[in-house]
Amino acid sequence: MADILSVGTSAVNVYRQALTTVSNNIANMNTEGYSRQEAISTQNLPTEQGQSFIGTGSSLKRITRSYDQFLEGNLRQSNSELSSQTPLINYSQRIVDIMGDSQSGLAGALDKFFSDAEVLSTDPASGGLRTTFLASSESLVSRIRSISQSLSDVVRDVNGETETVVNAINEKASQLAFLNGQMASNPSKLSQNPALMDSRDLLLHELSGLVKIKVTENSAGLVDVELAGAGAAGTIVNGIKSRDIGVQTYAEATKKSLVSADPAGDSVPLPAIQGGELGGLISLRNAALMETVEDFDLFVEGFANEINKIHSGSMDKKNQSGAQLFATAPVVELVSSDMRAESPATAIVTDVKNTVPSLDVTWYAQDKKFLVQDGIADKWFDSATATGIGKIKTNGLEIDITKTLSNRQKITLSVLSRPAETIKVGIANGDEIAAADRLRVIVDTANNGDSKAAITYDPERADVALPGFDLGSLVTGSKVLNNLVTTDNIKPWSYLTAGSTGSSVVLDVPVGNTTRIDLITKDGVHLLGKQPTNTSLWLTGNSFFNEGVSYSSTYLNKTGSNAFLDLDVTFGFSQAKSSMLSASSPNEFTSASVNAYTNSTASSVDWIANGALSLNGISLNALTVPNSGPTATTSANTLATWLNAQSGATGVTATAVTEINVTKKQANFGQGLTINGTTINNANTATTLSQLADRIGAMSATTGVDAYLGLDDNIVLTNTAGNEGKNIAIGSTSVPNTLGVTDATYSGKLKLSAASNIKFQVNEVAGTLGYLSELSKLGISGGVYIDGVVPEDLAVLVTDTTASNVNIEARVASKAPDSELNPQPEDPIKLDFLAGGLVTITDTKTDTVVRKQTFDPLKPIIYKGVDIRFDNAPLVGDSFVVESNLDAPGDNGGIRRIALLQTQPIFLGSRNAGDAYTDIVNDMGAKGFVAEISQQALEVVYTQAVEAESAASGVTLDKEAADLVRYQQSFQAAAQVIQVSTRLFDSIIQATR
Amino acid sequence: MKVSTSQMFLSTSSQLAKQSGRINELQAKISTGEKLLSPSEEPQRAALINQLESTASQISTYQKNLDKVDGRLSIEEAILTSVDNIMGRIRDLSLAAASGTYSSGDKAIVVQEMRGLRDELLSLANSQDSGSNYIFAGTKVTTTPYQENAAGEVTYFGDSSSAVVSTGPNSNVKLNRPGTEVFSKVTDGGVDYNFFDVIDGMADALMGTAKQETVSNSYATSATALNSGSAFNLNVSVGKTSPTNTTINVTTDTPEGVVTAINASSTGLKAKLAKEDPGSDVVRVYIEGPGGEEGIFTISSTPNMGFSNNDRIQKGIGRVSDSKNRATDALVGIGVSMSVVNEKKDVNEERDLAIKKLISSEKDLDYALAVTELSSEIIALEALQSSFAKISQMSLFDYLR
Repeated sequence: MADILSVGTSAVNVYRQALTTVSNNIANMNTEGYSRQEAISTQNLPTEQGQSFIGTGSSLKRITRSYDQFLEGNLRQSNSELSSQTPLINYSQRIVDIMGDSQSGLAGALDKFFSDAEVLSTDPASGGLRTTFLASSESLVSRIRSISQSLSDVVRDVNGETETVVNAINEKASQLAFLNGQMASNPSKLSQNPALMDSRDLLLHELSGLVKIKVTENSAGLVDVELAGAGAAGTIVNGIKSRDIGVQTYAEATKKSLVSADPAGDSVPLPAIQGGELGGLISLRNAALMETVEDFDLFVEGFANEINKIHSGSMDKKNQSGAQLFATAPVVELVSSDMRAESPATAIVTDVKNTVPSLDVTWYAQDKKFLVQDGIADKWFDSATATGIGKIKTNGLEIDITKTLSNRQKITLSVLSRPAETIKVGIANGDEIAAADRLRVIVDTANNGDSKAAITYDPERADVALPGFDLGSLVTGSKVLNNLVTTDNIKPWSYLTAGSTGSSVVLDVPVGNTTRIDLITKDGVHLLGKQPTNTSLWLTGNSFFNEGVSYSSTYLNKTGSNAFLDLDVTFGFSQAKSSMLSASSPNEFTSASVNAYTNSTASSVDWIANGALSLNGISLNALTVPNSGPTATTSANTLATWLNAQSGATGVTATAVTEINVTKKQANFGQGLTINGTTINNANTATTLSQLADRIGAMSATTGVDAYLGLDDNIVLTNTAGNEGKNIAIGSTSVPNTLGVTDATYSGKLKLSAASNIKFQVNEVAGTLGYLSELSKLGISGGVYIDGVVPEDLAVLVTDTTASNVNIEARVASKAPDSELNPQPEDPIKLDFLAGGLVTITDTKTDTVVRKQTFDPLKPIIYKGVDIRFDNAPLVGDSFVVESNLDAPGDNGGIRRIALLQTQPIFLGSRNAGDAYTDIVNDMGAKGFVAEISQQALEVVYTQAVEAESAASGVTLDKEAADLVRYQQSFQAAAQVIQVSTRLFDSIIQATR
Repeated sequence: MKVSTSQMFLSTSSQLAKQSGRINELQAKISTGEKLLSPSEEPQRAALINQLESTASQISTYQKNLDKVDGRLSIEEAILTSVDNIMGRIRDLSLAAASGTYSSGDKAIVVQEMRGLRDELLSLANSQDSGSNYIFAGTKVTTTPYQENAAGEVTYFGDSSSAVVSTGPNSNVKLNRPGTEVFSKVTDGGVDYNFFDVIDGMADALMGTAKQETVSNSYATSATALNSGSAFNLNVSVGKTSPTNTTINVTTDTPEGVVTAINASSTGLKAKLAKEDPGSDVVRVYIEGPGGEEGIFTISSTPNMGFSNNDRIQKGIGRVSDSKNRATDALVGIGVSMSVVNEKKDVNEERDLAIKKLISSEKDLDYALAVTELSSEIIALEALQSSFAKISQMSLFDYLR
C-alpha cells in the first residue's frame, strides 16, 4: 500500500508540476521572447521483489525550453538582412520626395528660369522682364540651396540615427555581458535558468536587427558576439566583458562615416560593417547618400559654369561684359582632435585663390603659439590671448577660435567645394543681365555681296599648340633657362606664350657666327629674322600654323608703328634703365672683353658696316679699321672712341679699360716678361708681386702699362692714363712668363653709360637682317628682347646657314593677365575678302594684318576665340568689322543662348540640365526601389523564420488546453490511485478490526 | 504546421493594417485625382511627368513668344500701312505736280503738303513701343534711329541687326526689322537715297531748288585711264546769275582721280563714284551741285567725259515710285511673317494638346479603375475581418466547460 500511495503521490506531484508549467505557458503566452516550457517526467527506479521489478511511480526529470538553436540563428540572420533595407527605403523615399516633387524639386524652377530667359529674349531692353528673369534666377538658386539644405538635413538625421543605433548596440552588448555573468556560475546549458536564456535570446534577436552578428555559444550557454565580417576586431561581447563600438560622423556628406571598435581606447576601424540597421545606415550614408550629394553638387557646378560661360561672354545693358550670373564659394569644415567637445572654432574663406584643400592648426599652450601646417610649409602664429581665443589669418582663411583650447589640441580645416550649398546670384540688378552678344559684325555698306555674318565668342575655344619649350612657364619657376641648342631652320626651338613680359633670348656666339633668331606667329606672320627662301617649307613642315594661313613678311624686322601690333622687339641688345635707380644715376653696362681684330689686308676695312648697328635708334657709322698704324687692331679704346663720336645723338658714352689680373699662386717667379713687345727689366728676379709691380711700373712710360697690387694678394696690370682700353700684349723671354698667363694680346672691356636706356639693334643691311655676332665685336652677347607684353604665342626659331650648336640664355620676368593682351576681343578687327579666295584679318587699332588665310565658305573663320560664319560666301572686296556690341540693349544674343541651353546636351551622356537633374532623382529612386523589392523578398524569408521559430518555441492555446486536460485527467487518475490506496488501507484496517 | 497563438494574432493584425493602408491610399488618390501621392511612390513616372511638364512649359513659352512677335508685327504693320499710304500720296502728288498743268503757286501748295507728309514719315520711322524703345532702330533700341541734322538731312543711327526669338525646338522668327530693312534705300544710277532724301529731292525739284545731278560716261573700272595716263583739266562754271569759272586739274588720270580732284576743289561740288551694277566694276562719276537756285553748274573736260544732267523731276518721280514700292514690299513682308507666325501658333497648339493629353494619361487617376479597385480592397478587408472574427473564437477552452 505504501507502494501504491507513494506511486500515486509521486504522480500527483509530477502532474501538479506539469500543470504549473502549462499554466506558466498560458500566463506567458504574450510575453516577448518567452519560449514554451514543457515538464518532462521520468519513471522512478523500480524495486526488485523476487524476480520481478515493481514500479515506484514517476518524478519530474526537468522542465525544458522548447528551443531550436538553428531556428534562432536563422531568425537573427534574416532579421539582420531585413532591417538593413529599411534605412535606404525610408531615406530614399524622403530624398525622392524632396527632389522629385514638382513644387519643392528643381524641375519646375529650371523650367521657369529658362522660360523667363526666353521671354526676356523677346524684349531684352525691358526693365520689367529683366527683373522677372533676375527673380527667377534668385528663386532657382534658393531652390537649389533649399534642396542642398534638405540633403544636409537627411545627412544629419542619418548621422543621428547611426549614433543612436551604435549606442543601442553598445547597451545590448553590455546587457549580454551582464547576462553571461549571471549564467557563468552554472556549468551546464541544460540547467540554466530558462528566463535568463529567454532574455539572452531576445537580446540577441534585437541586436541582430541593429547589426549583423556572429554568435558563439559555449557549453554553459554563455555567448560571445562579434560583428559579422569584422573578425576578431569586431568582438563586442566576450564572456562577461563587453566592448564598445563608436562611430565618427561628418556633417559634410562627402566624408564617410567611420565605425570603429573601442573608440575611447585603441581605436580600430571596422570598415566592413554589414547588415542590420547600422549596416543599412552606413551603406546608405557612405554610398547612396554621398553619391546623391556629390552628383547634385556636380550638377549645380556644371549648370552654373555653362550659364556663367555664356553670361560672361555676353554684354550687359551698361556696355560691360557680363559678371558671373551664378557665384559659388567654397566652405570650410573643422574637425577638432578633441572629438567629444563642441567645435572650438569657426572659419570663413577670404581669398579663394590662396586656399589649400586641408590645413592643420595646433595650439601650443606654453608658447602661446599656433602651428599652421598647410602641407607646404610650417608657420607659427602668436596668439593675442593666453587661451588661444582670437583670430588667425592664413592661406586665404580667417579662423576664429571661440573656445579655450587644450595644449596640442589640433583643428583640421578642410576647404570644400560645395556649389549647391553656396550658390547665389552674382549680379545685383536687371541692367547687369548680359542679354546682348558681346561682339557684333558690321557689314560694310559698300559691300557688293549681301552675305551676313554670325559670330560667337568663346575665350576658351581651343587653339593650335606650338611645339617646343614653353618659355612662358619660366615665370613660375627659375625665370631663366640656359640651354645648348642645335639650330633648326624649320622647327621652332621654343615659344613665347601670350602675356610673357620682360622676355629675352640671348645667344652666346663668336664673331663671324651666322646664327639668327626668328619669331613667327601661329598665323604665319614673320616678325623677326630672315625671310626663308621657301616659305612653304615652314607652313607645310609645321603643324602649329592655323589652317589655311599664308606667310607674311609685311612686319618682318619692322619697328614703331610699322611693327606687328606695334610690338617693340629688339634684335640686338637692350638694357632698360632699372626703376630702382634714381633719376640722376646713369644706366651702366660693362661688356665682356672686346674682339681684337687686326686688319691684315692691303687696304682699310669697314669692320662694322655703316648702318649695320643702331644704338638707341641712331644708325651707327661704319667702324673703319686701317691696315697699318696703332689702330690696325681694334681694341676697347678704338671702339670707345668710335661710339663716343656719336654719343651726342645716341646719349651713350663709352669708356674703355683693359685689366689683367694675376694672383700670387699663378705667378712663375724667376721667369721673364715682355709687355707690348718691351722686355721688363729684372722681371725674372722678382720674388714677390710687389717687386714685380715695381719693375713693371718702372717701365710704364715705354709700355703704356702700369701695375698695382690688389687687395687679395694679386697684381693688376692696366693701361696708363691716356692709353685706356688699349690691348695689352703679354709675352715671355722664355715660356712661360712670370705672370703665369698665356702669351697673348689681351683686349679690354667697354663701359657704357647712358641717362636712360641702352639699346643696340642689329639692322637689315641690303634688305637682309644682320647677324647677332655683329655685337660680339663689341664684347656684347646679343639676342631678342621684348620688354612689353607678348600679344600672342610666338614661335622662336634658332636658325643658321648650316646647322650648329649655340648656347642660349632665355628669360621671362612675368606674365600679364589676359586683360592686357592685344588685341582684346572688343578691339575692332576687320575682315577683308580678297581675290583668290583669301581673307585678311586686320587689327584696326594698330592697323596690323594679323592673318591672311584662304577662305572656305563651308568653314568658319576662327580668330582668338571669335567664330565668324557667313550665310553665303562674301564677294571679293567685301569687308566686315567685328567690334564690341555697344549700345545695343535690343540685342538678345546672350540671353537667347542661355534660353537655348535648356535643350542642349551640356552634361555627360548628351543630357540636358533637366535630364541630368532627373537622373540624380531617378538614381536614388532606383536604389530605393531595389531595396524595396529586396525588402519584400526578405520579409517572406523573415516571416518564415518567425513562423518556424514560433512553431518551435511559441505557445499555442489549443495545445495548452489539451495539455491542461491531459495533465488534469492524469492528476485526477493519480489522485484516484491515492484514494485506492487509502481505501485499501481502510479495508485492511476494517478487516483487522 | 503549428502556429503559436500570439503569432496568429500578430500576423492577422499586420495584415489588417496593410489592407486598411491600401484602402486609405486609394481613397487619398481618389480625393486628389492623381495617380501619384508622392514622387517616391513611382520615381520613374514622377520623372516622366516632370519631363512632360517641362516640355509643356517650353511650348507655352514658345506660344508666349509667338504672341509677342504677333503683337510686334501688328504694331509694325499699322505703322507700315501709314508709311505706305503716305508714300502713295506723295507719289500721286509728285505725278500730278509734274504734269505741267500746275502753276508754281499750285506746286508750292503741293510741296507744303509733301513736306508735312515727310515730317509725318520721320515721326513714324522713329516710332516707339510701350517700353519707349525705338521700333526701327535694329538692336540699338535706345538710340533715336532717324536723326535730322541742321541741313535737314536725315541719317540712320540704328544698326542692321534683328533679334531672333525661339518659337519651337530648332525654329525661330525675327522679332524686329531694322530701319535699313523697312525704310530701305533706293539705288539710282549707283547712288543710294533714303526715303527722306527722295522726298526732299522731289520737293526741291518741284520748287526748282533741287541740287543739280550730273553723271559722266561709264568706265570699265575706277582705275581706267581717261587721258592715256596724263593729267588733264576740268572746266567748271557754278552759279546762275554770275557764274564762277574754275579749272580743276586732274593729276591722277582715272575716274577716281577725277572724283578726288573735284572734292578737293573749292567749287562746292560733291563727286562720287557710282557703280551701275553691284556685281560689276563699271563706274560713272556722279557730281552733285551745291543746291539752291544758284547751285546750277556746267562741267566740261578734254577728253570729253560725256557729262550730262539728270532730269530731277523725272528722276524724282522714279525714286518716289521706287520708295513707295519698297514701303509696299515691307508691308507685304510683314503680312507674310504674320501668316508664318499664325501657322506656328497652330502647330504649337496642337503640340500643346498632345503633350497635355500625355501628361493627363500619366498623371491623372482613372476613376473607374480606382473605384473598382477600392471596392475590391474593401471586400477583401471585410472578408479578412469576418474570417478573423470567426477563427479567433475557435478555442479549445470554449469546450472545456
